[in-house]
Amino acid sequence: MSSLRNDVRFGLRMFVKNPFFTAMVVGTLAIGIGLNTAVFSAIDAILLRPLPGVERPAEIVQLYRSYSSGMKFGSNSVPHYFDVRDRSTDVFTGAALWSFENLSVGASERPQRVFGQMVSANYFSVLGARAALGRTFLPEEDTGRGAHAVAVLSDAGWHTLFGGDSTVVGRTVPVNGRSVVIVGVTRPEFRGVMPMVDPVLFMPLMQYDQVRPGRRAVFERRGNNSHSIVARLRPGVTPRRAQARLTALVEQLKTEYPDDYRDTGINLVRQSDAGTHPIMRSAEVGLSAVIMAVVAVLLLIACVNVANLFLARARDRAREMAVRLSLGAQRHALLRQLLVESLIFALAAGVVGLLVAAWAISLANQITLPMDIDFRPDLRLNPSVLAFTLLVTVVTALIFGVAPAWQATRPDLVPALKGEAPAGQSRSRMRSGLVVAQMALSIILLVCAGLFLVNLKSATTANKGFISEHRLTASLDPGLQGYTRAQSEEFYRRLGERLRANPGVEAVGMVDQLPLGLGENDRGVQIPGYVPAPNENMSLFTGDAMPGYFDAMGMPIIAGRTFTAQDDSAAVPVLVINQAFADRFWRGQPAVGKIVHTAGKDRTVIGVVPTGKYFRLGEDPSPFMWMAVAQHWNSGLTVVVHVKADPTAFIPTLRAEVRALDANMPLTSVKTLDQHLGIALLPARLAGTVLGVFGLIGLLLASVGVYGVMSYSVTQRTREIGIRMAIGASQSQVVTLIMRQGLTLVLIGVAIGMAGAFGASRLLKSVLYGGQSLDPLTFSLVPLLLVGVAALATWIPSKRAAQVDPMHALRYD
Amino acid sequence: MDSNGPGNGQNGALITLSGIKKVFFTDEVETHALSDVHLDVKKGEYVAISGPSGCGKTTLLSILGLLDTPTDGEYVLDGEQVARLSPMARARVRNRQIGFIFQAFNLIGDLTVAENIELPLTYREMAANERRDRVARALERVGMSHRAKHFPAQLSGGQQQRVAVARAVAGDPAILLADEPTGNLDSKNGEAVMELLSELHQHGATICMVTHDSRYAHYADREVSLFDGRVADAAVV
Ligand SMILES: Nc1ncnc2c1ncn2[C@@H]1O[C@H](COP(=O)(O)OP(=O)(O)OP(=O)(O)O)[C@@H](O)[C@H]1O
Ligand SMILES: [Mg+2]
Repeated sequence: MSSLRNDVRFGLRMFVKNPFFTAMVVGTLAIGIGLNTAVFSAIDAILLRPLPGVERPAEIVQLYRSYSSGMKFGSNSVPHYFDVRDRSTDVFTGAALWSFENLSVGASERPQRVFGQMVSANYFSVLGARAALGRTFLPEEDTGRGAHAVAVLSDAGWHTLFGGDSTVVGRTVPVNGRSVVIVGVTRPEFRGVMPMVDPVLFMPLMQYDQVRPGRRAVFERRGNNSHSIVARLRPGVTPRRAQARLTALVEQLKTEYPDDYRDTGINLVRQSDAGTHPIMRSAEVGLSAVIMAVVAVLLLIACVNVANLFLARARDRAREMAVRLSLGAQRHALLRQLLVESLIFALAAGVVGLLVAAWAISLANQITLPMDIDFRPDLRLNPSVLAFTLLVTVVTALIFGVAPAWQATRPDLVPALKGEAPAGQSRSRMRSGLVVAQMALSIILLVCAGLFLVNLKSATTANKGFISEHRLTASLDPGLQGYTRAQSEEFYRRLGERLRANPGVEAVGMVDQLPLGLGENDRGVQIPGYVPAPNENMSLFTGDAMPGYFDAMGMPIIAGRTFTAQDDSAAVPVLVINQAFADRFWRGQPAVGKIVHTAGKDRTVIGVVPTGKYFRLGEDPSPFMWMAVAQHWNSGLTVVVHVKADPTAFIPTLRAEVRALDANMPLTSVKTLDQHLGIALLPARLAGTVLGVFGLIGLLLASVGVYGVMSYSVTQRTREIGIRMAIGASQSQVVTLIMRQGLTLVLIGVAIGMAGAFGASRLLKSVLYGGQSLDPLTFSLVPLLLVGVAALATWIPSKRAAQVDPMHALRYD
Repeated sequence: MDSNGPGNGQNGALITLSGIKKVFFTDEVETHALSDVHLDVKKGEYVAISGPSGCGKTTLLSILGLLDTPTDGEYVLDGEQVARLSPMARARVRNRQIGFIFQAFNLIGDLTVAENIELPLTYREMAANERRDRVARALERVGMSHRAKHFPAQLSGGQQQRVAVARAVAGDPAILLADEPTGNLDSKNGEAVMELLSELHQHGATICMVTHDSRYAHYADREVSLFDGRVADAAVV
């Protein structure tokens, strides 16, 4: 339609006509569109994007063990996997096993500890991932334990370990002290089943004993659940049918291994529903929804601003619209014309918004977790993100375009044509309404931001059961270097001795896993004389600690004693528990001396420490038990050194002491305990920072909005103000007049916003640490801040109004 | 229907107003701008409407041009009852049957001369090449062809009004309505615009023009005097 072409041409003319207006509109909208795009790209990466580098990802499913206690997404054991693989071929073209494994790779002169995966040899063929160089694993590499000392590099590993050397295939490298031949490199896009964490190297499952000598018998124990299973549905097989097949398989397994399959089943989850991990899914979806809602509100505020700018312009263009109507334009034709104009502005803002998004994404991609894994968020502006941006842009154009267009296309015809200013009553009402809405929205945002910041503070200062200051930590694993158990124990003993000999050191201890990292271990317990309720969770947090650990962590002992060197493998097995453990099973009785059956033995409680936080800062007080490392062997440990001075200053000494014992021993995750806590604080910190920044952007946008509306109003009222001054109004009376007009709007907005903020805070209650959602400081400071800023935004134009020269104002018509 | 239809109303009139009333209600004050106005305009006629300020001339013209609706009364335009049409139908009648010329020119500043003239044709969804022809012809009629690409701000007042006339006639309306077309012009430019209207009239255009100025009233076939919202007398000039 050629008149559409006219609309576009006219729209473009309007777009270039007033560069300041255009810059305001495009800039404001670009911030909103850009942030929405960036957030959506994160959602796309975490929740929506199919597995990269995987063929027909819709056919991929994950298999979990489920338990009648309610746990639905448990890991799998190797013998279990073999049965699933061999007995479900009618519904799966293949099922593969994988797990993350810390590996020590000697690509350069000193071995590096990297994150790798142990995978069944069919892993690549099940996923449909081909090699970029060399080959992936062969079917025969799934049989013959220890017979296939080969590895496939990921693209990332190829670059970080070998600098992308094209002759890498066929090279031999030591992995955990044993020679392994590199047989291939995967394609760059392929990143396994958990794409956020980039594995460096893949090793065949059959090499497990070589990689992890002396580890619990993975090939025999059905209860050793530490692997993931991924399978590909046969064409035409629905997930339902496959699930039915697996349920039947569990029934067979129950008769064959009644002990191992009591109260358990197999749970099939489509890859697209599983995402990173189904356990995290609901948290991810929830957090995404909150952040998406926040940026949507920001965009809404931006739209309100722009709508106000357009309304102001609509007023100036009332005459143009009246002329068009007098020439017989139908209203819908004018609406279309104005919406085409809005769309042109929005599209320009969309383009600039993509730049904003690209910038925000590059910032987000630099986020590193304070952890020992190669975390790559990998946000991208891919086609689905671009489609989202286009959609947002069009919706934006409608939101900010419709109200002004609706207003503009029904001017009072006769006065407008006479060239008289339109009465504009309803128009200014709409503008005022928009200011109120804007204020209300930014109050809600700022209150939420404030709640998260308060939350961050209380999470930081929460009692964690240990002291994080003045502690340096580092992980090592002599087992990966080929040490036997006896050699490892000797190594740890001597390391502890050497470190304690340092004058700056207060205490040294070792533990299998620091609290408040991302992982947790739990283990079933039986308490003589205690009958658990049906479905009561009898699997409790557990750790393995060496003598000195409790001291080094600053954990006081409430009753009994902690481990000593005498608690060795020959001695009576012992346990240190926390207060919550004691309270749960022996409330009101001394816990020391009680027996707990766990990890295959009766263990005697020898000491009690206060309850702390172990998995999440927000967790309820949870029972915890520590076994002595010497009585429950684990070669990979984390050293905690309590020093008198700055712990980072002790890093060189720590490295030197380790090197003095073994120059080839890789030391990983060297960090202070405070830095380690960053992991646990990360969600609160991210939410607080993100919402804080968004809240401030919202406040800024809203203030600009108030300023714009008030300036425009002052311009419109110049003549009125001139008359008032001519008949004797003082400057301060004029300032009061305008301020009152502006602040009335702001206060109405604040009132509505506070009501909304109360509602929003109730929704946030569940994600806030300690459920503190009605923080009085936030609820009083935020409105004060907002009123202050808004008052300033009103004061500037009112000051200008008071400067009006009455003579001049009356003369110009 | 782009050309003047047959004047097939009562008495062969193109326009028949009977018993037209217009009351403005503002702040509980009723202003009777028009009371019981009867008026016939024949096809090809040139009528001047005059009267003192505030007597209702602009109001009458707005009702004739369907910019406003009468409070009461009948309006037959070209055989069709138009007093109570829907907004959409009114826009359509304005677009096809009526050409406006305003005292304040009311050209759209962001459109060129040619685009301003093209505007009513665009709203008629006329094919692009026909629009181009019509714009060219209208420009020629008012002698502004050489200024087609200019913007209104680059023209003198008299030139702007000539463009406004071209825009009014481009769609071959049944009737031209002009409200003080010379009000914002000096006498020389005013004369020129009046000459242009006469010329259009001689080529068959039906014109209703509001004017204060008795000099210009003489250009018309007939002068209708309004006084206090009523037709005072109708004189054939
Ligand atoms: N929108 C309106 N609301 C209220 N009263 C109105 C409105 N428009 C016109 N009037 C009143 O109607 C009467 C006629 O006004 P109109 O504009 O038709 O006069 P006019 O004859 O064109 O005068 P002038 O020669 O000064 O242009 C006047 O008394 C005017 O005050
Ligand atoms: Mg008038």
